[in-house]
Amino acid sequence: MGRFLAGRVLATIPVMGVVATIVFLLLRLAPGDPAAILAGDAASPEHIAEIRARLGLDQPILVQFAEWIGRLLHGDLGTSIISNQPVTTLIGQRLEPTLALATTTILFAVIVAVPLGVLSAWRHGTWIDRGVMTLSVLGFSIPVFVLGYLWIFAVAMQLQWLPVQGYVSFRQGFWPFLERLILPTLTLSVIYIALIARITRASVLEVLGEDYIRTAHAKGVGERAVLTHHALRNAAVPIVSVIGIGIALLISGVVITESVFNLPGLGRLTVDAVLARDYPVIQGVILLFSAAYILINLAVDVSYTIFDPRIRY
Amino acid sequence: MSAPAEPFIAHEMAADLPDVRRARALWRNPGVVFGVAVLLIILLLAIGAAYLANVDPILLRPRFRLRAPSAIAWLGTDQFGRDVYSRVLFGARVSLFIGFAVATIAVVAGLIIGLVAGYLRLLDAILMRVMDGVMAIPNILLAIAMVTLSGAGILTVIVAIAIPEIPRVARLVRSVVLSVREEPYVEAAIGVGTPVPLIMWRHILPNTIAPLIVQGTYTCAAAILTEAILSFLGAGIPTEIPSWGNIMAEGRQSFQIAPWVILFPGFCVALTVLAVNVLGDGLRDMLDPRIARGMDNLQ
Amino acid sequence: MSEAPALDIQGLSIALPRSAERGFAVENLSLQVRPQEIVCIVGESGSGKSVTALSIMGLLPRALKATHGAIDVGGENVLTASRARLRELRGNRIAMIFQEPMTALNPVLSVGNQIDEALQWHAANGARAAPRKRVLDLMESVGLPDPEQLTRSYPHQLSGGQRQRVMIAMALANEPALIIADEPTTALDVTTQARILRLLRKIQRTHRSGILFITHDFGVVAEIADRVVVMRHGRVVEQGSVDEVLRNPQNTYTKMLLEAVPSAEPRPARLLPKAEAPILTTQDLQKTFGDAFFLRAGRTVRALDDVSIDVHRGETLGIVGESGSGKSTLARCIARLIDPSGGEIRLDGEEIGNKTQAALRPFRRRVQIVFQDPYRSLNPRRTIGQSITEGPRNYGTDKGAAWTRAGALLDLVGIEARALARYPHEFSGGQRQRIAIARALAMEPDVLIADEAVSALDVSVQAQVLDLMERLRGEFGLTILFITHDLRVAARLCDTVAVMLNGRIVEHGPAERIFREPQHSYTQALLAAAPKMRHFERATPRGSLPRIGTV
Repeated sequence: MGRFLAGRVLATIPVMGVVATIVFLLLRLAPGDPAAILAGDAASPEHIAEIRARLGLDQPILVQFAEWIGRLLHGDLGTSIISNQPVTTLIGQRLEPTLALATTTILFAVIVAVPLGVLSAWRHGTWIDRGVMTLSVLGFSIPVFVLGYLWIFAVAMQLQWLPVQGYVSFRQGFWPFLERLILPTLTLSVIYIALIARITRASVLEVLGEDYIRTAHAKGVGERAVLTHHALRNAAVPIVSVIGIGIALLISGVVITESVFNLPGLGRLTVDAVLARDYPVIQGVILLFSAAYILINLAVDVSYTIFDPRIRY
Repeated sequence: MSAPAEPFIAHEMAADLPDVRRARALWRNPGVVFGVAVLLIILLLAIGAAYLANVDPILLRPRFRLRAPSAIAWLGTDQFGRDVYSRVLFGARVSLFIGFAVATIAVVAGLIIGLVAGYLRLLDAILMRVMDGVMAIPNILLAIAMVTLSGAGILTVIVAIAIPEIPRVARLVRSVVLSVREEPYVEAAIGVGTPVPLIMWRHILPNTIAPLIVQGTYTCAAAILTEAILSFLGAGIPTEIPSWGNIMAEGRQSFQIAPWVILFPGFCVALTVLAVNVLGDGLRDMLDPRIARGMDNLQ
Repeated sequence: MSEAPALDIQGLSIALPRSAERGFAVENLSLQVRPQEIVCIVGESGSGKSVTALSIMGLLPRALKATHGAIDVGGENVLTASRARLRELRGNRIAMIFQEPMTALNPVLSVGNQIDEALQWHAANGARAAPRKRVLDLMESVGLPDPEQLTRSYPHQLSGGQRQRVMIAMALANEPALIIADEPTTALDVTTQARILRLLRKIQRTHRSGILFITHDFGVVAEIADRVVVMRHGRVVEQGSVDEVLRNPQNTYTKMLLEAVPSAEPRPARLLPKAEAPILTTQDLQKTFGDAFFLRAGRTVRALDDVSIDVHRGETLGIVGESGSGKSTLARCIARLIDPSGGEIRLDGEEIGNKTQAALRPFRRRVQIVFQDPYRSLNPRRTIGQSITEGPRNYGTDKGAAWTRAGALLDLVGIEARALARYPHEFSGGQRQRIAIARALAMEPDVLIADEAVSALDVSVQAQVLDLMERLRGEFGLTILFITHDLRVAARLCDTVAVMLNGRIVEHGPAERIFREPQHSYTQALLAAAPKMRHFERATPRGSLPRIGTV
């Protein structure tokens, strides 16, 4: 087990390395002069030169790479071109709303999607199944922000049940905090629900065709127990795995949802950085999110051993 | 060693039939028919945009700002008085083009990388680590970074959306190559002295076509969505081009008074992507029951 | 014998969906199983035997419906029972053992848990005395070693035989009136099969249950049955006591099936031209599979351990072994589909074991292989003709000549030459195997390797393909390496036999000698385990004296 864990942790290092290299190369291999592009259309040559110096673009590429990796290892993500604050500080200030939204979304999505998927597999071929699958395709097809605006339009503007936009920290009261997260969560979780429900249905359906399910029936095990005790347990690995892979989806969704609902999180930080062409901030957010993705999937990999006794090294 | 299964029900599994008969069976799938029909209509609207539009889509008409949908402006006007209906028609061109272009680039590049990785053990480890790395970076963020660095432009956007899609295709092709390589008929071909390039071409490549068509369809859907999102965030197509994402981006400030500027193009995006997705599901069911949808097509 | 039967099926018919090639999966079937009786249903694929089994359990796939008749278990018709009542009956009054013990057990639940579950679901309300003890007793009674320890194990940690014992323990849990065993030993090695059959006979003596045993193998029938029901195309063609049916079959289909069963009697030695040097030899051949990867200790498996064989021109060498013995690895090394890790392979004296793929090219065509699975060994997208001509075209035969010869070869293997333009899915398993043989012959090979080439086929088809191979061997002077797990099949065809165990050859010699005076204890065990019909040597039409049976 210890060996397996160590192996898995070590295996993330090359992937992290590839991510760091890609992000590094993005700036250096961009067509044209990135410093000029980042400086904007009406920039003076001095300004461009200053940006070039600050990004270290005037040094030999290998030196740049070594310094870049060195700083990353020390947890230094650089400094914002616009506000001159360290990127880590900026990220720290914006972490809470993003974490809150991501957590509520994952929880809500899993609670809704897994039972839907199981139900759909169990009632395979009926109108329930077709209904769930149709909703799932729909969920895949609506752009997140359109959905967000639809919610705002219907629930906040027409019905006036919930506040339209904004964020209140949980330290200022739980209900105001939750109230403002309901619509963003409903928005962001739709695609995630579609994804998880689909995979749950597919995996449970596959498992239901297995010989050991027939054995369970032959033993006289009740229908619900066959579904939960036998089928769902065996389908757990692909489901958990898609929850992990779906993190990528969630992260992209967070960026958009936050700008629709005006949540001051990392997504807003990113969008503001894009508009201001504040590349060090964009770069920092990419690295952070990619690392989060890799670590969550590491945790998912390790969790397989809980669900499946065959995976043990 | 197991006893042969009893072939009671004629298992006319599409996957076992030669390609011609499978292609014919396609038209019996409602998803395929629906998807193709909707896409054809949208394609015709896009092609005929210049004739069908009521007004020049980029004409600014300050006096007609934020008009609600009416007999004159069918889908209303935006904050610069531009006609939303005409803009949406022209936007269809951008979306369809980007979807198609991204799918083509991703499929071709992924096919090459996947074939190489599937056949050359040495390169496999390296290529797949790079693919893992690309996949670890959230699509939208990678695209945002690329567009920010190289400036807005259709080509940049296409490349920026296509690159994050390549690893999925590459992994798919690689897994097909690895599994087909173990098939006895491939071993038999090695046994009768068929050279490797010919084995690839004759016995392995045909097995990748069906999954690639399906994956390409999903990629196309994902690309249309991503373009809308990028443009919406201000990191997409240059703002002077009326793409669906751009139309919606310009409706943001005025959403509370003029929701139609976002909702109509939003509906178009959703309908188009839905049609492509449903087509993809239908194709998958008919051509390649092995791919489980879900891991692909992440926004 | 006046006791009520454990199972009484009367006039059962099960309809197939309209798209199927025939109307009924099972038609007008009647049979009885009395307590403590073992009744075997024998039949080839498509005979309806497994559907019958599933219908008794009420586990028919949705597409199939029982339309006529009654299935009476302990005075209750299961066809009309409610779903809830069926659930109560299953695992309680009727239990089932399936073919594939690996997939029939839930991989993520412990063995103890799964046996316990069979008890739990049928426990009378509240009254459950020491369930754990009962689980341990059950495991003990089916001969599982160290039950304490095994209850916590998962199926993948058990051997195939142990898994099947777990299945049997689950079936016995509630002392059912009827146990249905659907090909329970087919997926097992012969030696394991013999032990499981012994266990079932012991259960027959010690329990009250009647056993309905489904099999395709008359050897197994001879070993275990009290009564036999022969099925074909969904109908019973003959039934009676095992003595009657095996000694004196009435129906022509039964006779044909019995003829087709290979007996473990070696064929009389052929006169082979005593050849000079052997055409094919291996010297200390080794193959090690391993995952020696950086940072991970290399766990390696020695699939071949110093294997030395030699085969003379025209000889048929049988390589016999159970699963994991390395027999297929040996075949694939000789065909150079995989690289040996050490040792030599010589073809006509020339070393081919270490040649690169390019250097191998001239030798490829001289060694051809026919695979086990007829459904996967032909590319489904290419016509038969394209598949057969692929090899010759690689070696420069012109298209016209290659196709003409392909037609002639098809004719030779008993398929009309017109079929060249058709696709594999239009052919049955036996036909596909003939096509695969034609493909191999098109290369004009010196050595033909048949890797379990008849194992996936029904007995009657198997017999035909073996006949074909025998004929072709004479016609082409072929040297054959016949890889099989089935001693009886080897006896039918081989001049010499090599017995493999754990990657080594433990015995090698003329077939006659190996079968009559096996030297190695493992060979003796294999021979003893092979299901035999010797006790039932049939009264042949010529009227030779039947030997007295011992049942």
